[in-house]
Amino acid sequence: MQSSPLLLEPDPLEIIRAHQAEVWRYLRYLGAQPEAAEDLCQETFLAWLDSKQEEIRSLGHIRLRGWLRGVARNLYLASLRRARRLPVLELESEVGLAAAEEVWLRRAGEDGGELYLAALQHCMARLEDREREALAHRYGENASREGIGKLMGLSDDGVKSLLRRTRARLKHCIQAKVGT
Amino acid sequence: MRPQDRSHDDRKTLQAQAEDRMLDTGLAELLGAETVPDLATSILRQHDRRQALKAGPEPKRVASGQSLHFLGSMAAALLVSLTLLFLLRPQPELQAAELRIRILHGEITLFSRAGDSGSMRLGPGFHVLLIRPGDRVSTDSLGSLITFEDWGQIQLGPQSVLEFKTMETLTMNGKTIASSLLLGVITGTATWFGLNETSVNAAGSTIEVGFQEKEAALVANYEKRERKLLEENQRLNKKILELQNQRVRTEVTKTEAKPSSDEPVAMTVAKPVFSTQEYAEALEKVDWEAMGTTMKDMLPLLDQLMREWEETGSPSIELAGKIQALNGALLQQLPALKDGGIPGSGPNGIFTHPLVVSNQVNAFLKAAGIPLDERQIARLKALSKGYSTEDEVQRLSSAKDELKLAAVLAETDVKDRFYEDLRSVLSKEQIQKLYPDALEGLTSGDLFSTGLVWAQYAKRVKASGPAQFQERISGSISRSLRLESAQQKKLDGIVSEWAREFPSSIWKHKAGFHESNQRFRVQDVRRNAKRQMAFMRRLVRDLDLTPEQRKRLLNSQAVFMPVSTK
Repeated sequence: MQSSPLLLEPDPLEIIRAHQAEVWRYLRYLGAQPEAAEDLCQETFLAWLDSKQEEIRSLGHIRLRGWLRGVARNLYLASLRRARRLPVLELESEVGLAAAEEVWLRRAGEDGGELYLAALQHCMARLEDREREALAHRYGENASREGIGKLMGLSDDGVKSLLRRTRARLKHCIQAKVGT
Repeated sequence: MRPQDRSHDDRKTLQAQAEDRMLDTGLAELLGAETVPDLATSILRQHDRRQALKAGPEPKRVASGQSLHFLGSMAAALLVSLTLLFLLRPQPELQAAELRIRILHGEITLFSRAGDSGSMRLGPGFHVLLIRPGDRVSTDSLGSLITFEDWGQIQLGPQSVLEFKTMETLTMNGKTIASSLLLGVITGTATWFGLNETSVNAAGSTIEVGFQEKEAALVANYEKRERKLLEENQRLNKKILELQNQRVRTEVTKTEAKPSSDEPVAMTVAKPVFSTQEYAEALEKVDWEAMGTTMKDMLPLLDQLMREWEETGSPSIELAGKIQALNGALLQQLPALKDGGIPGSGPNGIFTHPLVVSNQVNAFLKAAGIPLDERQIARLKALSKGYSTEDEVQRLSSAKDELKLAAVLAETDVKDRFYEDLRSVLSKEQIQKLYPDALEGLTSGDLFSTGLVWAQYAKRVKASGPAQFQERISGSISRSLRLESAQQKKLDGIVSEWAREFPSSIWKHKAGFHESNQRFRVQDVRRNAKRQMAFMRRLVRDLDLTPEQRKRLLNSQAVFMPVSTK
């Protein structure tokens, strides 16, 4: 509570601010590009605001998060169908959707991904300088394998191998911190 | 192969792909230029527009079961539907116009209408803004005071959002400037100090700025006609808000076991009974009778809300709406207190100043039919003056401490003692009225304790055990201060030692109802705040912080509250 003597749930501004990070991250996780994730995130909350059903407007936090994720996923899949594209993760099949949801709930189900990010940052601090450098080029500058190779004096296969090894180390470290 | 025929191996492969994707998005967020966007104002703006389009020419009927918040939204929607008449016409309102403002205190963020130009943060000083209808201005937790050149001043409450609903323009020296504005209060409060009038405006209401004679003469006839429509619309808005307030009051009365009407209840408490020369002007601007009555109406609703919430697992929207409406009425009194220099940490620090509390208690108990007697008033006068002075002294003393959290601790220390002495003045019946069992000693629940102050700073940190708690705190601090890896390692060690000071018993069971919902016992927050002060001093000493990192850390007032999810 910052502005008033009470902390109450139903203020739409507060609800959106409380959940927008999770919805946006979830859409990015499903495969939406950053700009598309913003648009779809907005549409998701507009669907909630437009909802006339009182049970949806008054859902508790946990159930509301599940509802928002469901709407976001459907909107994302509809946008892919319109563009005649396939999803990054296999979401159209029952088994694929279940796998995607299982991983999301395991990694971000409790807090919208905050703990996962904290663990990831922690694990990154434990990497070798060279590994961190490769990640910074790949994810920070969006550099290609060829570009990274030139910057770091490595062959294409060398970069591929370094990134694969680094990612494996990170996954292992995260699992140790937040569970398998 | 049909999806349902997929083997166990396929499932494992799909999970591994999902884990990869999780890692990719995490790395992109941490290392890339990607940041989680704040879409809240943009979403609400789009929602307003859609509502306006749906509203059509007929006013919407409000279902009686809906929360009052939505009644307020409808008032805003009616206005926007007329606003669209302006927007759809190829008139100068569509183009950007200059608006000259001076921010006297606080900071504002200006959000562009389309959301594609991002936002701009502005601090004290003179600014020339380029605005369009639909643009919004928001304030942080401190609120702000802005002068609109030649027109007047607007005091925006904490976390308030204001929208430029419509505007009219003039061309002067080749520049398009705003000659009049219709401002909508989206959230929070806005007090307008114009040349001829002062008005306090809550969410859902509108403020007309400008419309001076020399400019009015320049607008065309059809614009005048439309302005009349807007005025009519504003009148309707006011009527709706009046009805809304009336409904709240009526329903509150219905739900309460009120004393019979022939019981003597003194009602003339508009003037402050408890005052000092220094704050007399500010305290006299507050309608204490309204504040006391509002708090008296609000407390049983809060009590009911908490009890039902605990029982059913979710808060009642209807009750919350009523409380929110009453809370809005309380907030309308805040600008006068703040402008008058009543000190305190955040808005609730002002609300818990000894002089403010004494007047609240006096008005509350009168409205409740169990007023303070002369002897109690005399004792409380002495107490409120004494503690007001003590509060000033502690403020001067704690200002020397670099850590801002130290000021909150010192302030609440004085106020805790004041609240304790206040109880000694009251009768048992009066205490029971002010402190319902379900709310006593809770942040965000107890209206007559420092729980209100701590509610602003206590931050829930959910974790399944001490290791996860350390992880989260470490990650949060690291990201907030943007620590280097060497600093990160030192931080981990300090966090680990600090986290061991929490009793292991808190991790044995899942946290209770209040803690899980971001409400804490005042003494728990105080204890954690004290521990955290030592922890923060160590971080300042040992982390080799840059000046920027140091400043961020010293300014932090958040108190981490571990909440077990076991």
